[in-house]
Amino acid sequence: MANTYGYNPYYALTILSRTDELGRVRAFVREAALQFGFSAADAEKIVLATDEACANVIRHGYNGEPFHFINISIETNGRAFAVVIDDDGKSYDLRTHIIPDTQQYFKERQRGGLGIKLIRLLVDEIDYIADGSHNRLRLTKRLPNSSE
Amino acid sequence: MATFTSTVRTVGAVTVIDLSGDLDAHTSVQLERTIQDLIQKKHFNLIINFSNLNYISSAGLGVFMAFIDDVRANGGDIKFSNMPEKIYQIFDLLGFPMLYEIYKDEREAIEKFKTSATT
Repeated sequence: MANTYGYNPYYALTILSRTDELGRVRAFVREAALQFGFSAADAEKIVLATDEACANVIRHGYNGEPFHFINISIETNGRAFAVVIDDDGKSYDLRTHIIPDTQQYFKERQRGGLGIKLIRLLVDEIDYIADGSHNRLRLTKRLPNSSE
Repeated sequence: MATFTSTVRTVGAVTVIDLSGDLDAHTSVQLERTIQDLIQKKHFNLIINFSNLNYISSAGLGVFMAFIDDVRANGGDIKFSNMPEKIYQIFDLLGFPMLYEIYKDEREAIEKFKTSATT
């Protein structure tokens, strides 16, 4: 099933909205990223970004309620590798989140916001669509040897 | 499933916490309890030894943010040691070396506590 982005889904994992599922998410994304030729270091960047996004959905999107579903799928169009995270929790567009600079952050000793900062630093592109009660976050990283 | 453990050791006036496994949104709660407990027992000179840690997410980093002011207000510190390169890269990416002292070796971190205690 190709979508509007021209990506073909590779494979998918569904988890419950519980933090003890995050290890499974990491193993799934790590394996896929390595199969697509990312170095171990770059695979870990995608793994961490995905972990942060899923942890946000669990904690904020679903308010820590453990019985909802989150679907994680891998899509690729040959140039880019994307992790797509689908959920039906409270919508939040992390692209609009204002991140203070490091000095300011430490001065204020904030605890939150680090995850969103990491996601922005670790992937090349972030897309977000909220459609009714459904949210779709797509984290994209250019494949190795891709100039685009 | 990845596991996480935090083991507490005492080296003179310093308390070392050895981390192993994956420190994420699930397991950070455990580390939070460990550090909370140490602070309650007035252990303020803390070294976190990362040599066996495989993974850290922002939830883990948040634990250190949560306690740093408290230990420093009591004359102590949270120092880091033995960080694998991939763990250091995450700290570095977020600018954490500005706020925390990071040592290659646990002994260096222990020495640093001794030096600051005598000055």
